[in-house]
Amino acid sequence: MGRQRNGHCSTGQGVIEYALILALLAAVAVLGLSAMGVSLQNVFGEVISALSVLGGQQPPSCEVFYQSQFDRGINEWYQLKGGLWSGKWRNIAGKMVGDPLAAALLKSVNQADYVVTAESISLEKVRDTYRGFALIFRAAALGDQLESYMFEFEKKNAADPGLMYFSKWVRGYQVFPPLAQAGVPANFDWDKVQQMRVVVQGDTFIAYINGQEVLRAHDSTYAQGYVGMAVNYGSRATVSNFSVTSIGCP
Amino acid sequence: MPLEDSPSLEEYRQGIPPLPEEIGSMEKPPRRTGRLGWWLAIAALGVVALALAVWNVLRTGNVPNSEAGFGEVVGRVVDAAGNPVRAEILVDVGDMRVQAEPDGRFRLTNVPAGRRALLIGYMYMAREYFVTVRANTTVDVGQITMPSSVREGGYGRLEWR
Repeated sequence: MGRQRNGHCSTGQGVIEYALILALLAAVAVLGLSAMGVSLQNVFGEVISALSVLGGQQPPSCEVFYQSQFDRGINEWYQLKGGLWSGKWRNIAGKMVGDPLAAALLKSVNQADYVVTAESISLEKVRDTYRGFALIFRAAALGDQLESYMFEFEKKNAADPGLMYFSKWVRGYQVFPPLAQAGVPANFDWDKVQQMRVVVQGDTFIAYINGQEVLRAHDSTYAQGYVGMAVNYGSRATVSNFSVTSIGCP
Repeated sequence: MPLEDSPSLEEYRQGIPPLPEEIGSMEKPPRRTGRLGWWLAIAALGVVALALAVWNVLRTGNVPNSEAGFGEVVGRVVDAAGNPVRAEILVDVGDMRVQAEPDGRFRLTNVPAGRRALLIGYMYMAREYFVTVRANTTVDVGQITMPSSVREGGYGRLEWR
């Protein structure tokens, strides 16, 4: 590169060219990933999550928002009544028992990100059709009209191998097709599920059955809301433990 | 440097002479080609970035969802057999909703212009459609077909699978 005595660059590349090239390369990279359907927010989130696991770090605040306080009765739950929701949740011997088409929201947890876990879920077959159970999250209830996300497993009839899916509820309507769906894991027990968990973080929802990740969905319609449980038409559910914690709790 | 090798004052009569390396550089023409190449690369990257941006907008439909003014949305909801369905049509702004007429037709007025999500709901199940509403114009979404089979057991929900 030639340089005159006064120090001005006369040939070759200057700062502006370098800056423009770098900026355009970054823009092309971001737009290219976006065009391929890759969400940078999710990528960064997963990288941070992986790094914190590698570093043996736990988030500074592991908070338990709710932990199996069924013995306090049903009053801390808001029951959806009317419309589709004709069933009822009851407290029997310290366990939550939900009739067919019962849905209830926990009044005390209204957050953006959390981990919802239901354990020792027994499903009694009441009818042959539409057996299943659901976790509700980021919910609001406008009377009997649910606005929320839902993760559920559902068996349409005896011949149906069953399906799991994330769906969105808007003003009392469940929107189809669902946000994400998949078949149930092999050897799935429709009578008893040890653990069902949904991790809700940003626009990403990850479902686990008995500790195994089974489904993942993305949506940004609802930023926060209540958690709850619902029972499908053909089942009666008994839940022994229910908890809501912050992300990253062990 | 020995004193006898020092330049004489006579050599500075016309001012300080240029250094040998600068004599060389002054004789060379300015190197424009290298710089031109960089600007061509910048232009090419700019074109690629613009093309990707346009592609993303077209693919995701992320056009601005707020425009001035209001428009109308009309359409008709039928079941798989073509029979009219008295569905409820909701819009993603405020509490805007309307029920389809007995012949399945609906008309939503005063819909804020922009890209809107329409929810066609019936028997606790809904399907989402996206429309772009322009100010002072009517968008006809045409005929929308809903599933017609009710879930087994007849508890009033549509079947979707």
